[in-house]
Amino acid sequence: MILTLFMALIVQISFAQQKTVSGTVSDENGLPLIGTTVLVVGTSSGTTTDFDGKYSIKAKAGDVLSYSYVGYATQNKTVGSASTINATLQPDNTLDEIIVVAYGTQKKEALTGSVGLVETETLEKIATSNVVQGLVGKVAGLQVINNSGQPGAAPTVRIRGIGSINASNEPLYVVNGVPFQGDITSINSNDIASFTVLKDAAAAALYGSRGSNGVIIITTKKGTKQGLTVNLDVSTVYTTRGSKDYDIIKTPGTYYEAHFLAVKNLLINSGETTKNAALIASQNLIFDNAGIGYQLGYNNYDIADDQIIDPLTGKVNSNANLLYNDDWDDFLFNNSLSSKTFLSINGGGDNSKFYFSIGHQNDQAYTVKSNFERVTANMSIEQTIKENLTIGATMNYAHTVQNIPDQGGYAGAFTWTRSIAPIYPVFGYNLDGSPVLDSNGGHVYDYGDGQTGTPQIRAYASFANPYSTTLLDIKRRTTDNFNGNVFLKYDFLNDFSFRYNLATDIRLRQGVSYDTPLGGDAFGVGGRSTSTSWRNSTSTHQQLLTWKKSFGDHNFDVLLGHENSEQNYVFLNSQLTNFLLPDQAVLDYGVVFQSTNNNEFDYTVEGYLSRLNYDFANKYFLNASYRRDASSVFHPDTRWGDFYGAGVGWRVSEEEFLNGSSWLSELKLKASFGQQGNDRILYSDATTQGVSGLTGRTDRNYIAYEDQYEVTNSNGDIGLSLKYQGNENLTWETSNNFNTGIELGLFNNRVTIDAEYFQRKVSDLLFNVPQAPSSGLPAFPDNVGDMENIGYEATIYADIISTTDLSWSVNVNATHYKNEVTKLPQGQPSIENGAFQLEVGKSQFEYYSREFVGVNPNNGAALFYKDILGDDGEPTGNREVTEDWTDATEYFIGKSALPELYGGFGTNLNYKNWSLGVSFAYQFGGYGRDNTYIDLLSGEGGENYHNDIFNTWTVDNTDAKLPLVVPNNDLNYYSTSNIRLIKSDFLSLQDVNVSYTLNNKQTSKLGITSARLYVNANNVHLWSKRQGYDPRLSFTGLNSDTNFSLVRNITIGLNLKF
Amino acid sequence: MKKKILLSLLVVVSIYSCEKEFLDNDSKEYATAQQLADLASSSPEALLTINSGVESGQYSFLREFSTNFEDTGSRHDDYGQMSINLGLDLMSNDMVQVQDHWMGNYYAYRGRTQDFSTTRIIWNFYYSIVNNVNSIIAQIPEETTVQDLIYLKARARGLRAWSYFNLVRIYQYTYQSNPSAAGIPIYDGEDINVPSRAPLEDVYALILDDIQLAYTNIEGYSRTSKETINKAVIAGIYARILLETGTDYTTCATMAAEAKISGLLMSSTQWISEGFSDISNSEWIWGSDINGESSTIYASFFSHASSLNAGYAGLLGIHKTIDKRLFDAISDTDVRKTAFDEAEGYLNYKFFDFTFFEGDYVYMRVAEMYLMEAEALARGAGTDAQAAKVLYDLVSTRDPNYTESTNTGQDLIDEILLQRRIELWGEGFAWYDMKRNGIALERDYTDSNHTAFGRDNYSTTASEFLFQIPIAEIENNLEINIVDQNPL
Repeated sequence: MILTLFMALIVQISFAQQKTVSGTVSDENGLPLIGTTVLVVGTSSGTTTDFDGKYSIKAKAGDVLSYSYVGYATQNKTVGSASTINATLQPDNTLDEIIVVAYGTQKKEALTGSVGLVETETLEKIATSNVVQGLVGKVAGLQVINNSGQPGAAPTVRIRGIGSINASNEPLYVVNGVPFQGDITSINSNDIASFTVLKDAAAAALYGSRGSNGVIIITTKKGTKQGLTVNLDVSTVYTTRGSKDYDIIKTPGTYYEAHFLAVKNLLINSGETTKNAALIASQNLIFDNAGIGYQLGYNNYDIADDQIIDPLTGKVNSNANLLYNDDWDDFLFNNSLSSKTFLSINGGGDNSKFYFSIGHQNDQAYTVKSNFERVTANMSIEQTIKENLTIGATMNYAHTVQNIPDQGGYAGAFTWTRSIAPIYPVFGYNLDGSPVLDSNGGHVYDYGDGQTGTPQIRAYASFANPYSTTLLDIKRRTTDNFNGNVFLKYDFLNDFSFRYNLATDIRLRQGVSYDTPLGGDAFGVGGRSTSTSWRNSTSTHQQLLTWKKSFGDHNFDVLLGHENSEQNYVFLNSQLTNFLLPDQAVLDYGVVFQSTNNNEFDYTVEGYLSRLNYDFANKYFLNASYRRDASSVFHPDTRWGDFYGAGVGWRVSEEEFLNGSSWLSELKLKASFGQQGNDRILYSDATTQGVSGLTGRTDRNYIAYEDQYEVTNSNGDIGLSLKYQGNENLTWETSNNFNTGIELGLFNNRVTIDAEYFQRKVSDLLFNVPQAPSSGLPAFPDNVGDMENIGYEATIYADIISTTDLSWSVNVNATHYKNEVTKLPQGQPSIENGAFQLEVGKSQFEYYSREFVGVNPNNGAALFYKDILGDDGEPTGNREVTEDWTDATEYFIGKSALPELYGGFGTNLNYKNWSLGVSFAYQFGGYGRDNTYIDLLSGEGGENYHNDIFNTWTVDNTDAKLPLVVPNNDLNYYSTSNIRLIKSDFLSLQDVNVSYTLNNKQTSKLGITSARLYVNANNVHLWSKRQGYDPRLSFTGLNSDTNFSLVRNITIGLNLKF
Repeated sequence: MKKKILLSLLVVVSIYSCEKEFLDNDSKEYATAQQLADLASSSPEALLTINSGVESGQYSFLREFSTNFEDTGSRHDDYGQMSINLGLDLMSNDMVQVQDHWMGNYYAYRGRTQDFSTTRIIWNFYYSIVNNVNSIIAQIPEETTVQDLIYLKARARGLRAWSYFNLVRIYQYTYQSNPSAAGIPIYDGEDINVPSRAPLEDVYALILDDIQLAYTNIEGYSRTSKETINKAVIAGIYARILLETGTDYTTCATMAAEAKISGLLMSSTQWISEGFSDISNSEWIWGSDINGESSTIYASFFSHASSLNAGYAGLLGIHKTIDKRLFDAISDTDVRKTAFDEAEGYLNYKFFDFTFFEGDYVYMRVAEMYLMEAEALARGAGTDAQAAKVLYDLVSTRDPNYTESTNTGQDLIDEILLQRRIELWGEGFAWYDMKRNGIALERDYTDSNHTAFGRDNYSTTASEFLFQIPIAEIENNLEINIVDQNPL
């Protein structure tokens, strides 16, 4: 219906008189070019070619017809006596590439800063619902960390390293010219026209206040003047696990043997003889009658509890038969099929242009009952009212529904399947191994609490059964995202142009979180439901005045502007317990009040901006910008900050001494310097950025200059507790960026090389300085010190073969950078920062920990270094070895979480209608912390073991490299030390794309311009140091148990263009 | 024409020009100091409202889950004062934990070392209270004549004395053993600001100063709920302090006697059936009223301590049982013996509650006052006969066959101390008493019912009887360095 309406908008073009000239316009391959503009030069008469590349126009003999098409050289033909004139257009290699930059566009060669561009072809191949997720390894200097395979999850993005410590390191997103507070997941990757990354100050300074972590500019598709095109894309996505899990124990027997080993170790360690230890361990494996302190509770075999393990061999009794062995993986995970559909219509004439699209995507995840469904509608209209007055509007709407089962703690499917000992089943079993049935004959779930299900107590996570609770819980978020952008553009006095932009971003969320009354931790309270609503809206106004003028070879482009932005967030939720129905979560069905939370915040920023772009003869370039900004985060006396950027560029290849070189097609040198700000200080206890938890309070501190008190309910009285301390002197963190680079084009730009050197010095770091706990407060927000990131990045692209039928290109990008803390507050030589420690001269990502030296072959103890102290209590510089973890000293151990090198490489091969693309991502030279692996050796009650337990020290294996394992890591041998570190090197086959395109006479007879059949696969394979360890999941290589493994999506799709 | 256009542009630009209000946002997430100051300046009543709010906030803090700002809320062994009470008792001779699980860090003496969350939880818990009550004390002017403000300030001092008193006993040996030993940092929100380890005598000087002022200024105050401290609670705290310092048994006995009469001993039936889960109990002087909203469910005292509630102990079998020697020492006719089940492995039935984790918490009750009074009298504030009488008044309500003691001197004191262990088992006194009386930890004895992971022996002069200061304090307090740390 709407479609027809828009079709009707395609205004028929009226024709002038005289004779009719017609013909076909085709490209260098002879394929029709649809939408080629054909003009009679010197008149207002013109037309565009149709679906078959055909046109007809009225013209007189002697008129000159001009054929123009974006990306092709314009051709002129004079009308003679013939009434048919065909034209074949050639690709225009000298075409100026237009790059979207801050508050406008610039020709690529005029850039003096560092800008990364993602090609639209790359964007089209992204299967994930969040477009940024697909950019791993695609842009030099851009690190995309996919923390989770949860559909719709937002990745962590870092541009040229870490700028801040406690402040946010997220880049600024700008959508359609306006800073974006919305959710990137609400933008359909099919709707994106351009994706630009601004990496240095010259490029990003105009976003002064908020650009210090880099800027990602996304522009959605707009209408074009080239007639009507319709694009239909339909695909199916097959989702599987992206990488293998750890080599954990999968069978009950092996688990009993491993746990027997650990208990036996413990007993030997506390003085029992080896023989006695084995006997006691085997007799008390299931039930602890000896007061050891550990027991498993469950016996999966048809043999007495104290007979499962033969104490002499340590193996499962050969007479034992397994009664049950449920594999949690089979229940919590399943491969799934999803679908994606996208339709867009794009068209326009001289005075009006439009773009309209709708998209639907239903992402089924790898974990049970988790999915992400999104409907997007995108509309863009531009209308020229008068010659010098244009108005336009872009509206993006996305409706998303996400089912997100709990992933925290015991509820997480990945944590659970990895951590629970394989002796504990999904369903309940009687002691004889028969299933425990409910009154309807159904197999009941096992909660390990001895009440429902198996009549024993699990040593691991009693009360929990994430499979049943995931099935029975309702965890749903419904979000409406609306992003509207209207503008008015008025050109006057020949060289001036005024543009007014008004953008509004509104997100409305309705969340339901219902913990089932049928089992799990809400069983005791009859179910627990939390209903949440929030509204997050941002309005931005921009007034931009530009002046463009050329005097001979001198070209000026000046911008003056003002921008203000206002964000408001309102949160309301309520929680009740004791519900009537197990499948109905609305609060009216519950009776016991638990809590209500309601809060808001406002965030306002205002800025004045200016920019000068100057070039001389397209050879020498100067960009300069200045911006003055204020943020409501800071005290009125400290809230204004001044930011600037300046860059120069020199296209050496335009100089006469190089002009005409056969091999050198482009050589540009550039340098820039500038300063940007960051006001995004987080609360000291923030865990994620954004809005989280039951309370709905934000992790960002929006009034950092004030002391803040929490209001609590003290049995009906108002209770107050000081929660955060404020700092009136807190001000902008500033990032000083220097960038210099060379852009080289060889052999008619068949080979291009971009190489850059950058320095990113961050001063007045926003940091929540940890306070002595005795002062009663955890931290004090302050501008504490300075830090720098220095590095190089390079991108090489080569068209190795380029013929009509066959083309082959390769691309490589690499980034290296170092981080160093250069200044800390007076009197504070070091500040503890998790696994790291801030110290001048060190990287903020250099590990600071106890140093594991090896294993004592006599008793299996882990050996650690310890400082020898002098009489004055200070270290003498000598150290000794200790077996006591608590007594060991912490050191900088010379290993960093930052990789030495990261990036990606890929290749594209096209042969006739076939196309193949392969891309890889990599990183080398850093270390991660594999806590998951170590936790699988620390023997917490009922937790699973890694198969490496059989390679740890025992009385029979005294030259082992791994220390003795005892239950509950009682001896601290596996507590935090560098034993947890592992090289975070990886090589990952990110994407493989194969496609076949049909665009010939047959298809055009069907009215189809081109048909493309494609198969895309992402997260195809990972090579890392240890099976199960995926360094891609965290910026610092930290592997935590709760990580949702990445998924592999294989997409099969059909793209039709009409 | 051109001028007109430019002019209109200027107008448009200036519509949204920088107005101060645009950038000044009110907090709507947390109450800011500015909002509180504006309210406080509006009337004297408002000053009371705000500071009473801070005080009330501390009472709810006492029973909160996850009091520790350095953890992200998953530690089920962190549920306020009762977790510390139970934890410390698990470090005594008298209580056994049958499996290594939550609270096992206490039982196995692991939690006392600097890197463990346990010591951090305790340290941060009390210092958080100190910091909040310091702000009350600082905000209420010394010269105020508003009676309610005077009472409030007195209560704040009482809470501060209580917090410092608990802390200093955990992080150093007793006052008597060495008054000049390094104690803990002290702050009073006004002029005392000693971030280094102040000597015990200075810490106790502040504690005594606080409790005496609190006692004097609280005179006449009447409270509305047993969650708030009043004169009886302050007197009880005062008696505890003096029993520890041993410097003034006379005042100690007086204070205990005064607090004693603020309630009535419960009957023996009550003791075994409902003595420890309902704040309305006549014997309770100070406690927390837990309801469905404030319940912390599995992370709660009854989850960990009760053999009957469906929590860690009652359902999962992580029981807290009684040491068999103490069990054997209880007279067979004593009703308190029936709170333990020898056949079930010395299981305790002292603590239980019929609701779903809405059992109330007790911080102070009358029986302790009898025991303190008796001990102070026996230690010199009175005669042995007076002491024996007070002891008789208590114990006879528990054991109908109990006869007034004829013991004298140390024997009498020992008898009182034994009754203390029996009466107050699981309520957070045993470990402090061992330190105070030099009773070594002895779990590895013949036929011990202690679990292997905690079956150790330590003398009270061993470093085990000191918690180490949490590492975060050493790292972030410039006045305390690793050399100032308690021994490992």
